[in-house]
This record gives sequence, C-alpha cells and structure tokens, in this order.
Amino acid sequence: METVLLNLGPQHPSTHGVLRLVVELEGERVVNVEPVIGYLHRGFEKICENRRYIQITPLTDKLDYVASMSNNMAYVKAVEELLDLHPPQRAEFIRVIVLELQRIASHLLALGSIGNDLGMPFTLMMYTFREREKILDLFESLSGARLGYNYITIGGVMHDLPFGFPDHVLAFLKELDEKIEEYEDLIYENEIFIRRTEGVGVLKPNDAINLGATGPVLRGSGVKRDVRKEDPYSVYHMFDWKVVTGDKGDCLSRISVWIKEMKMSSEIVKQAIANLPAGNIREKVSRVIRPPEGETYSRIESPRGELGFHIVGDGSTNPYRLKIRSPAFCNLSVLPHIAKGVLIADLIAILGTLDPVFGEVDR
Amino acid sequence: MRKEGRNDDNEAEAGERKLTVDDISPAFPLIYEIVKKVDGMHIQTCNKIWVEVKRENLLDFCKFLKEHGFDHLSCVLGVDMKEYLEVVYHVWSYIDRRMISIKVKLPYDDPVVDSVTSIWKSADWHERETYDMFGIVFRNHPNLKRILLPDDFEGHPLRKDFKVEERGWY
Amino acid sequence: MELFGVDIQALVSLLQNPFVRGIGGALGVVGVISIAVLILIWAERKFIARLQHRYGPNRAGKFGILQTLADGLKLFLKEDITPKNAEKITYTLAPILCFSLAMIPFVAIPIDRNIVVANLNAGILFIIAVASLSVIPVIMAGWAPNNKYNLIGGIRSAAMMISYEIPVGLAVIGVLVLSGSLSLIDIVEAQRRGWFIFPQFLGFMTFLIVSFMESARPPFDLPEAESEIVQGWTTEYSSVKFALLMFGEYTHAIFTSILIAILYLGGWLGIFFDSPLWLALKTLIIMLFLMWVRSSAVRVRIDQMINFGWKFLIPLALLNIVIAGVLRIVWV
Repeated sequence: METVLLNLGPQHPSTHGVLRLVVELEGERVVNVEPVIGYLHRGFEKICENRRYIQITPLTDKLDYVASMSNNMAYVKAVEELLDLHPPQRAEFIRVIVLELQRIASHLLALGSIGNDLGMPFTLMMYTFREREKILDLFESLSGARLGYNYITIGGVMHDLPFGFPDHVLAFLKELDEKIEEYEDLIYENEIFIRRTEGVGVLKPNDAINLGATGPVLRGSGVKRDVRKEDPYSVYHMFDWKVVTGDKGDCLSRISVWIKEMKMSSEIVKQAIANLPAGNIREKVSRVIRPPEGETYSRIESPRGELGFHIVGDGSTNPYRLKIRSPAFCNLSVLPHIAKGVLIADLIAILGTLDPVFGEVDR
Repeated sequence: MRKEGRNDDNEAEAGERKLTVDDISPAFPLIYEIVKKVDGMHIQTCNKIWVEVKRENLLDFCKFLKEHGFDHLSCVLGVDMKEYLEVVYHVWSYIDRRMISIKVKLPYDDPVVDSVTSIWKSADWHERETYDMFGIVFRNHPNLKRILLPDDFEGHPLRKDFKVEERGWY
Repeated sequence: MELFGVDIQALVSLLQNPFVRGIGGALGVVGVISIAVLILIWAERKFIARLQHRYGPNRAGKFGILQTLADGLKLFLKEDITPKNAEKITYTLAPILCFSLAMIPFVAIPIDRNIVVANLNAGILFIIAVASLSVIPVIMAGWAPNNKYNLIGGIRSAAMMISYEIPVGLAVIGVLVLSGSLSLIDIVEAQRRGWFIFPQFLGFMTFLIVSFMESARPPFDLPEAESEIVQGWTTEYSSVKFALLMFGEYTHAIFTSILIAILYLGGWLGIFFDSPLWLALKTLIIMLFLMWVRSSAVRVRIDQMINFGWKFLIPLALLNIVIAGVLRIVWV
C-alpha cells in the first residue's frame, strides 16, 4: 500500500509545544515518524558565554519552564562544584523540599496533559491543576513568582522560608494524598483509558538504556535508575525513600510512575520538614565569581530525567562553555523507535507520556 | 593536564582536603586497565575520571568501555578551544557507579571523528547537535544533518569565531 | 362567516391543505429544533463546566445564556475561506446537506398522540433510513477540501457508520417485536403496560452506545478527534459552513435522545397524565447523560471501536431479539 506523508505541524492542539512530526502513514498505521525540532531554539549556550555566572541563574528558569527549580539547582550545583563551595545544611534541606514539591507540580501537569491528549477534554487537567495551583501559591510566597523562580542560587537559597511555611506544606500534602486517590480512580477504573494506554508504545529496558532515556521513561520500563540514588547530591541520602518503577514499559506504566513518584516525593518532603535544621541559608559569595580554571559535569534528577550541566571555566567572569544535557531531548529521540506500527491515536498518547517540554528540548 | 574540578591530586590548598589514595583505591582495577589505552588521565574523584584519547583509538576504547558495563552515554558535546576543537563524551556505568569522560582533540581544518552510534544509540541526536553547532563531522552517522537550526543555516554558531549580531544596547 | 375581516371558512380550508400543512410543519420543526439546539448547547457547556470544577460561560447575558448566540454571530462574521484545490461544489454542498438531512427525521417524530407533522405508518423505518443518509455529508466534507486531516476524519466516520448501523437496526427490531407495529405512535402506545426499557434492557444499552457513535460524541468522537487530527472532518471549514456543520452534528445528538425516549422510555406517557412535557423531560435526561459521559470518558481508538461494534454489539443485539421474541410469546 502506498504511504502518505502527514505533517503534524508545529501548531497543533496536542504536541505539547512547537514540535513538528513528519509521519509516514499507511492508512492509519504509522510506518515511520521523524520529529523535527528547533522551533524554540534561543541560542542559550551561546548567550551564557557572554554572561556572568550569577546572571545565568535567572536564564536557566526558562529552560524547562514547567520545573524551573530543577534547572536552577542543576546549574547551581555545577557552579558549586567548580568553586568547591558547600552550602549550609538548612539551605540543602530547603532545596530538597522545594525540588520535591516541584517534582509533584510537574507530574501533575503531565498527568493533566495526558488526559487532554487522550480525548477527555480538560476534565483531568482541571482536577490536577487545582492542586498545582496550591503548589504555585506556596512557591509564590517563597520567591515571588509563579513560574520562573530564580530561588536556588550559588551558595544556598535566596530567601528564608516565610513564617508558617512548613505548616502550609504539611496541610497541602495531606490534601494531596486524598486527591491522588481520586486521580487513581479516574485513571485505573476507567476501562477506556486502560485500553488506550496498556500495551501501547512498549519500550524494552535494554533499548531504553541504550537510547539514553532517563527519568520516568526509563523507570517505566522497569529499570531502577535514579540519579538521586546513584550519584547522590544534596541531602537525599539522609531520607528514607525508594526508587519507583513501572513494570511493562508501556504508556500506562509511565503514567503510574508519575503517580507513584508523587507519593514518594510527598514522603520525602514530610521527612525533610520534620528534620529542618536552623542556620543561615546562604554562604557568603561575591557577586562576581571567578572560578579557577577547570571543568565539571554534574547531574541532577529533574522531573523529566537526568539534567546535566557541563561547565568549562577559564578563570574569567563568564563561563567559557556551558552545555546542557536536557532529559526531554533524549527522551524525545526515543520516539521513532517505539512508534513503529502504531495508529495515529497511539502516537499522540506515546508523545504525551514522553512528556516533552520544548524549552528544554530546543534550549 | 589542566587543573579540573574539585581537587588536583598534586597540590593542596590551605583548608582544602587533598584527594588521597584511599579515596581513589576503589577505582584502581579500572584505572589500571584503562591507563594503558589512553593518552592522558586525570582523576577528579573516585567516581569521575577524565581521559584523553586520540581520535583513531576512540571507537576501540568505547567498545572496551561498553563491554565493561559502561552502558549509559550521558552526553556528547563539543568545546572550541581556540587552537583546536574538542569532543567530550560522558559515559556512566551503573554497576561500578563511575563516570568516565573522554576527550578527543580535533584539528580545526579536519574536524572528523568516528561516530559512536553503533555502540550507544543515544549518541544519535547528540552528535547531530554537535555537528550543528560546531561543524564536527561524525563518520558513519546514520543521519547527520542539522537538528536545532534550519537546514539552510550557514555557519556553526558555537565556534568562537562566529559573531552573533548584537543589538546596540549590550 | 366573517371574523375580524377574515373569512373563517377559507382559513380552515387553507389549514387543511396538505401542502400548507407540510410547509408549515417543516418550518415549525426547523424553528423548534434551532431554539432547542441553542439552549442545549448552553446547558451542555454549563453542565460540563460544573463537572470540571469551573463555572462555564457566565459573561454573555445573565448566566451566559446569550453565549451561544454570541458564538454563532462570531462565526457568521468570520471570513469564508475556500482552499484553492478544493472541489467547490462538494465543498459548499456538504454543510447544507448536513444541516438539512439532520432535521428531516424530525418530521416523523410524534410529540403527542395527535401531534405529528407527518403521520407515517412506517415511521421507524423512515427515520432509520434518513439517519443512515447522514453520513454522506460527512464523507463529502472529508473529501472535498483536499486535505489529509479532513480525509482521515471522513474515512473514520465512514468506518464508524458501517459498524453501528447494523446494531441499531437489530436493537430496533427488538422493540418492533414487542410493539407489533412500525408506527411510532403505536410503539409509544404499546408502552402503556410498561416501558420497553425493562424487557429490552440489552437493546436499550446497545441503542445508547450507538447514540454516541451516531452523533460523533466522546468517547466515540473519532471523526473530529481534536487532539490528533486538528478538527477532523471539519478542519478546512470556516464561518457559516462550519456553523452549519456544528449545528447538524448537535441536531443528531438531540435526535438520538428523542428516539431513545420514544422507543424505550415511553415517549409522552407519564404518571398521572400524558403530555409532551414528559417527552421533553426524558429527552433532557438522556442528553444530560450524554454530556456527563462526554466529560469523563477518554476517546476510543478506531480499531477498538470497530471491534466493539462488530464483535460485541451485534451479538448483544441478536440476543436481545431472542429475548424480545420469548417475552412476546410468554408475556403479551
């Protein structure tokens, strides 16, 4: 049968941003799909070569605009490795609380978007965004912004926790536990949802590791890898938590990884708040930093996967080279391999579970 | 070798911890095996080892690493040092919990190196991006074309001699 | 006789003229249905919004009642774009056919024992036949604009029609066995002893599911799957043509709801008295159910839907006919 070339173009109701998919179709079956990216390329790495280290932190917010605390953390961790700087304990605990809350917020958004993609118009999204709004309110009380926080900074965090913040967070987490049960009902008891996502887009574990997938995409295939456990940073080793995995590698496993990770993050935040030490929140660091000559590559586990920063410093005020290893870029490269022989409807579902955010893919 | 990262194991600054033999000894078996194959090595911590390899030996060295459990290629990037171009590969082993970062120096007028997509498929898009930004050509790459910039873009932006049109106020 | 200067005899004979009655009835149907569509679209938007924890339109007029009018006015005022390589005649004809074919079955639907525009004694047959015709404008709209998204939507709709026409026919046969007549008025009158939903529960479920397929509503809204193929079969349409297509779609939803109310829920029969208001109430309840499912169910995939239609609904409908036959012999 002849194949038809369909262009799911850059403007589309459900490609999560500007992505162009050139799909070769045989009837309704996908023979080949090629993602074309670069529509949101802003020349981030070149810009950073002309900015001072402290000026780059607000720029990193705009990378993965859904989870900006993680981007801040990854960059700041790399710079602190270059400078050999250790932030105080209280700052580390606040960083962990904020990062895990950010993980919950990002997974809530991913869960809402998958409902949209599969055809349930906005219902799941309204419910998950109700919780996400509460997290955004908490972050607004911390940093003053709802989406690009610029909160984690070189040496610690910018401002201390406002009065009553731990109580608000604990109250929110109690509500979240009930709401997660609601989401599980809406998903796991919905026969059509399960039929649409079970067995669709199976990614085998060996393929996942070879193709460079990380984060929920990798863990959904059953591979127990998480940068927070393998290459521990900050104070994650002080808490009692486990790496969650799915078992089959299909869309439903990836979605279930999101839900389980939200529960695990809420556990970590509760432990962190219970053990929050007192102290100052920021090391004394001058505004203009001149790290010694050297280079380093440091990674963290962002909600999408392994986010890495490679910084080459040459003793001057600007980094000589800054490279971002973005998880959404690598996860998206998995798409041509797992979308062979599926129907168009499945292609959109698979794309939704890979969870791309184009600020990060294109930089 | 350039001084990198946290500690240099030859000099100790006042108040800083020097990297001792006990820190590095867990990595000794690996270090013994690879020190013969590489041109230069620098140990940042016992989990992070930087090596320099000539471009002809790159593919063999990568195959060797893959057999020894280094199955996650985290990143491939290019750096424009003003006299030469450099490609850096970061490879992680889950079994040993070690990261080996491989550096390959390339001359400006002949920036060609073998592609490692036959070993780790994740190198595919990373190498396309390095080609896009630096003009480094990867031999035997399945689909080497520009990925982030439009197909008809001229020049390679991340090279130091590429001038970005700046507006007046910066 | 003369009253207010009008000759009563001439007026009465004019009203008995079948031609005048026909045209008057048709205009009446178009008018009533149009107003019903406007109100029901508003009701749907408010109802779904409440299920989604939000308000729905509440700016245009009190409680947002004028929102549908505002949207219709906006659509009428938009620029009417025709793609360059489209087949002009088919492209223009499709919305007109969609709008009109959706309204034709309403002339045979009785509102009360004596109020019907066209009293056909093979009413149900006429209705199903015309409802089957309604896929033609969809395929025309899928083919004419010369666009792949439209084409995919149109072909999906054709596949869906073939899969659901047979179950709906079989389900209706069950009702006919129990009522013994093809005329809709007789079917409702035969439900005086008990609504057909109880003996014909399987048929009712089949018909309910098919009503989702026939009006292309979620979870079976594959022809216009917004997240996959942009707007599906209505992609290249704008302005008045788009408004007519949407209107036709929604009229289908009302039509299947009224049909369910008549065939299974007893039409205009009520507790103490019969009245067309009971019919309106039952239709409204079915419409609310359609809206409720719309907001909570995910879309099915095309192969799953076709499997479901052929491998599950047809055996169910056949079983239903057997049950109806047994009940007719044993009970009636």
